[in-house]
Amino acid sequence: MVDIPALWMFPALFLLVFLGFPVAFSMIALSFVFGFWFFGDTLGPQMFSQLHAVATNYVLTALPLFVFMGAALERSGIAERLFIAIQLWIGKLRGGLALTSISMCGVFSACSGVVGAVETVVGMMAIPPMVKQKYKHDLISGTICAGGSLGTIIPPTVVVIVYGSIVEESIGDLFAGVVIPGLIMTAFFLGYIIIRCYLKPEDAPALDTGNEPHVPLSHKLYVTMIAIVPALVLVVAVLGSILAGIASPTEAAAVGALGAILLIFAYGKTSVSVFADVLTRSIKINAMVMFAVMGGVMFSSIFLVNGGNDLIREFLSTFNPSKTQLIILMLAVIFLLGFILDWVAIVLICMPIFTPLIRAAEIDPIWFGIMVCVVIQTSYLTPPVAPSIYYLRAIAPPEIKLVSMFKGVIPFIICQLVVLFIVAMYPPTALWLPEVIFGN
Amino acid sequence: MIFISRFCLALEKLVRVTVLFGAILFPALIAVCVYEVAARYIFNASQIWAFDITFMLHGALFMLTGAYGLQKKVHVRIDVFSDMLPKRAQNLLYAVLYLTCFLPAIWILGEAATLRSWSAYMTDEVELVSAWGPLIWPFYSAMALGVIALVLQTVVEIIRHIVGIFIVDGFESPDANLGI
Repeated sequence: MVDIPALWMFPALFLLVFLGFPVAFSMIALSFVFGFWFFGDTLGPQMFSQLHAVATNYVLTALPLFVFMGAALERSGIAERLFIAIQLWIGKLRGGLALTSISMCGVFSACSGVVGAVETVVGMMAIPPMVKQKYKHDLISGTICAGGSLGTIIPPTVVVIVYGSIVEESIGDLFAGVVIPGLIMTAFFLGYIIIRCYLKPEDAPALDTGNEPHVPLSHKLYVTMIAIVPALVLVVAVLGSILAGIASPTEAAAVGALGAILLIFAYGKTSVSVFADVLTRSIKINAMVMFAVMGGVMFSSIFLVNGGNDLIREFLSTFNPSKTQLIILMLAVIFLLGFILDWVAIVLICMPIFTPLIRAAEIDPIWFGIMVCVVIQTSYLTPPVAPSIYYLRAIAPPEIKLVSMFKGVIPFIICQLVVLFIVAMYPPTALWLPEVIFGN
Repeated sequence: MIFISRFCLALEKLVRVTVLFGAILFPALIAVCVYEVAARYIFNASQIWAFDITFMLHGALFMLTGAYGLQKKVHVRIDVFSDMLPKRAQNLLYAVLYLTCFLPAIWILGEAATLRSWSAYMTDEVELVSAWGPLIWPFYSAMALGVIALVLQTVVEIIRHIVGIFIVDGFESPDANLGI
């Protein structure tokens, strides 16, 4: 046992991560420490070849472009318009603001690949009115966090791009695959809010509409057109061209980025500071994700050469798990890691190790990838380390306590697990659409 | 102490020069991809260089902005447990970790990258991914430059943490923020 260095890499990683060392750097640092064990003086060129592999990966070039598109759309002011438009239609229902928030997150997730952006944008608009209408704090927190988690599953999502680049599966197939589970998930979230507000109307008091003038239908339609049509055109153009095989995800993302810039012009938000901000934020997010990718690629390659391969083989021959057991085991590992790690680290640590297992057991990598996306979504919500709550704390008023945030996300985590169960039991939910579109 | 502080700020300024290159590459990346789509569907003339240029631009872009990312503290870290430690202990811990684990790692990476770009330059090495076969040294040099900037920024971080061991609230990075 002692002579297999790979065995020590994971405990060492968790130690560094818990000490608060950046996750990406922990992986790079440990690749060095353990790589030296195996490669000695040739480690430098070895690590450079990993870096080279990441830097020349064509699939990953889609990442900064989708990030840019999301950041630009965010600054175009389209979110405010969308919020007002959706609210006009469903805002007066019981729990209307919560329903508006989830719908808004769903639409905005389809424009943006960035996981945290959706939550921050929608949260900043929706939390103050919900607090004012005396919604229960746990409902507010849960709604905003869960809505934000849609960003990890509704395409274009960076999670899928990173997953696809590691497992070497088509991004188009994966995007098509997550569409239906993503819609089911959104429906479940909405369903939970509707049922809860029906059973306990006091949790989300309806807006007192007594004094408000009636909004004519023509005005509703006009506001909706101005807000939704440009976003819809952009989403359909970007996702449509990927799904139709007209453009690679990278090209589609670039066109989307250009479209988002044009929207900034169209909505009259053009200024140097807006563009500088969009650019800076895209650069930061891209650097964050890419360095995690680099760290993950280095870490897993060093793990595999340092005896990780033997460990996996030994595990398989000792326990000889069935296909189902293997899937449950892998998803359980991802779920449990989700309590303490964020999605980038999870995908990058797990997938290089799981990929050979998936191939050996002849598990469909697209189907598995969709399930991974759903499980990753729970990691976004599960405390103690929940990115969703981290973002929420930055935008929520102080009277919303951490306890109600923790309490609020639980029903939504259950919804996600139900969706996972559905996808696991009925693989066509994930595989039907890619098959129809790409026909393999 | 003022000298050390000025030294750090000067190094950080130098590092920010690299991110400027990165910031120029970003619009270029968008432009190249859009141009290729337009060329393919409107002018019916796919560009032989588009694929290579795209991934090279992105590779250079992310390497050149890595040091900036460290400077702005964008990288995800889990601070729930470490925040329980006293500030000085945290500084000691991070000074040791950066110095013993991270700096050597990117040092040898920088060495390898520099040597690689030098030999590519000397031998006029071309890239073999596509039929276009461009010279590879500008791309390698951008990567090497990025890693070198990262080494410099890491040195700054180490100095900051060492100072922080002795002086509580020594000097933090000027505008540290959370990123996404």
